[in-house]
Amino acid sequence: MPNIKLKNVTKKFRSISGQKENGTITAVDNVNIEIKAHSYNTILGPSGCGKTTLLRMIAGLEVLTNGKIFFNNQNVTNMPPEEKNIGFVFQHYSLFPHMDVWHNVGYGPLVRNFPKEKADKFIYKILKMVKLDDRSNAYPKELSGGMKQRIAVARALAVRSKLLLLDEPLGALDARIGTALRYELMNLVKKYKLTAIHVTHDQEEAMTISDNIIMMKRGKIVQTGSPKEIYRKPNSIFAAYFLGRCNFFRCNVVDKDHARFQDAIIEIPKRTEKKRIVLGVRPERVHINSKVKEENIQGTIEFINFLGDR
Amino acid sequence: MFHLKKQFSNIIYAITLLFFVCVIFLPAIYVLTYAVGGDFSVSEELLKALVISFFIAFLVMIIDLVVGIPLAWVLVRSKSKYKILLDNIVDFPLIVPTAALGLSVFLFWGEFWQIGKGVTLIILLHIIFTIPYVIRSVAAAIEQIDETYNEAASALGAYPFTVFRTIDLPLFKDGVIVGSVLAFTRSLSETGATMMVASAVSMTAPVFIVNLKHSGDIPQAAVASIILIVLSLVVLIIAKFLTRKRHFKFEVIYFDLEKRLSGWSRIKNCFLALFFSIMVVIPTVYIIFYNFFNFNPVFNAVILNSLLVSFGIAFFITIAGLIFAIPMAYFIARGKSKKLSALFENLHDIVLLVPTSALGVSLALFWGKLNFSEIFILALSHLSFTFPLLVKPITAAIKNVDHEIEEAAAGLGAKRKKVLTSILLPLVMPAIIAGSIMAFMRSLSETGATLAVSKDIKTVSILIVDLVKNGQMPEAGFLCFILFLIASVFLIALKKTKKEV
Repeated sequence: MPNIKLKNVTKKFRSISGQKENGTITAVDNVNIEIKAHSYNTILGPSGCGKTTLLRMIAGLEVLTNGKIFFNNQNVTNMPPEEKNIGFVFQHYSLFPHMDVWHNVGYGPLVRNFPKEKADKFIYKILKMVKLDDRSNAYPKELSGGMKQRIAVARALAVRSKLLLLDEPLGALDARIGTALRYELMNLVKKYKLTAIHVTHDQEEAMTISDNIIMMKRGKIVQTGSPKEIYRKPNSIFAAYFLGRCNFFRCNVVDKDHARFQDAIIEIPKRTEKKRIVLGVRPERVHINSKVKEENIQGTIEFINFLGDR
Repeated sequence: MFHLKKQFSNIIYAITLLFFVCVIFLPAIYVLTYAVGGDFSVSEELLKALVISFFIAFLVMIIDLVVGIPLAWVLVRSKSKYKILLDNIVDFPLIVPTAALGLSVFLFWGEFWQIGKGVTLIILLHIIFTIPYVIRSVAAAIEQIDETYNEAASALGAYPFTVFRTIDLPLFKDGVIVGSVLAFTRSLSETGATMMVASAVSMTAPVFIVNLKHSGDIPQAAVASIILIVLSLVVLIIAKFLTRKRHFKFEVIYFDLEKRLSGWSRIKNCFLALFFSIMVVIPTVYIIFYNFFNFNPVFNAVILNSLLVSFGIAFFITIAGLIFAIPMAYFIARGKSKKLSALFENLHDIVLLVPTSALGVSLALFWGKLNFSEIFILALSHLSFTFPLLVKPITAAIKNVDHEIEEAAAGLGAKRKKVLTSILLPLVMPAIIAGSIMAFMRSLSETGATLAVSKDIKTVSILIVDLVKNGQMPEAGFLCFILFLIASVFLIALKKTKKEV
């Protein structure tokens, strides 16, 4: 199925009554994206940028204020979630507390009226895949965070949807387990040829896991592209700042190809007509030199952090 | 120093517990001692009254659930702007004195729509004052459910009705049980209003008990009371047992049916609104329209005297109750022994659920032995059934206060007394006010226990029942109107304190 197109998608919320103006807040502002089948996509952005709202609109959990959504050229804008055939993994998993693991995973096939025998086989297969087939009688509160997360993924996969939507699926886990589960997720999506849309605020997670990053800021798309593309050619200070690390220098332009910081004259990668520009340098491109030369930028080492030996 | 203080608080606890056991609990179940060695024959009429009572209570409970659960759902989850209206009127039948409610229902259904006295009219009446219990209990439970469970279920492909059946219903089942128990036992025990709409052949058990008591047939009244008390306890135990089930396994789904039931939500909501308006709201406020056309303000000595007695008792028992209810609530919420706290919490539930006319018989028998004056016995009996109403909300409020806040105050150097007066009391004040209003109104409106205890003294509610019996409708209407006004004032006050929480 998947090949998803979003056209001018906009979501406005009524502002909370605490604020005096009875205006609206635009959570998602005129978003146009196209997502290719069998790819792993992340929507990356700081909290409150509208990334979760965008994902929820794709799922049908949120009604659009404006715009259209297409799955394989079929207009699904107003289709309720239960008819959309998607897998959705929630940030806090939302495993049904009154059902055991087996019935949680089996809920989708049950409510979609799949033939029971076939469904049971598939549930077993999925539980085995997430390595929790021996815990099928356990209840959610008896499981660790990582287990819950794997069950949440298994539950989303059990409906045999080719589209997997994940809302900060690793955000509630501690860092070590989260990192390990990243690769599991990635392998799963590749192995079963799924299309994944994964919302996160963690740039490292986005970099390691995605084929394609959709970067958002204040409801708008800033840049889309592969991690390498965005890392190497960020189209804005925000993109450079948010993905990977970056050192910024405010420079005065000397001529169309050169700018000055302190006494150093630096060649600008792109010609410019402006008088003042910001140059960004990735840390791996910085070389520290104790002897001061005129063409170098001077600085003081304020403190040193030990992060292990190289 | 510290030891002395600790001893002091232990003394307060001891007095409170002793007070509860001797003044509230034992008198309430004293009638059970009549089961030992007494003549335990059940007359045919009593049996009939019991069957009618149970039939009515059960049917009323079912109707309450069918209408009340979806209404509670609308109250919590709907984004419609009309739900505020519903939120404001849901509690009204709870706080209107049942005698006034009874008259209003009698005038509306009985006189206006010409429905004869009997079982139908009793059911119509009981739905009104029991449905708020179901709506409120279920709504409170729905509020506790994380909304993402619903979203998860619908994202997995479940249609709204299926989500409701498999996700929400199991998760708010405890609210349904609490609401059902309250509705069932309230219907089982209501006396005053029921008397106005019952006929001689279709009497409920509490009405029958009051009649027995007044005709001097104490042994038979005691037997009837024992049966009612025991049956109420059975209901309570069944409920406690049902709340234990936590796990569910759904294997079957009626796909086409559930899909079809998921539609039509607007029509369903309209039907609910219509039902609630016609069956609950209009009969409740009909008395106001009646007064509009038959206004007859009479202030004779009897009426003035009954008002004075009612307000005097209500005021006295609220104050006296609070003195013991606050330490009792603290004991249940923060007591060192969890088992003892749970025991006393359950004992309060029992007192709350015992049908008041049975309670009245029990109290009359207990206190009658001691030769107190009638007004004092009346006050003590009112103390019995209002005390749990005070303790429950205060206990819940204290449990809600994070103990760390108190520890923080203590850590800053506040003495124990200072912590209580400057931290805890202000935080639970809304609950104290809410509990006081509930207790005050309950005392003002109670009829069952009052009828069973009193011989000569008439409270407002009993006077209304008497006036209706004698056919003095305008006078009764006027008294109801006064009670109605008071109830409205208190309801507004209650809403205000709830907002502050």
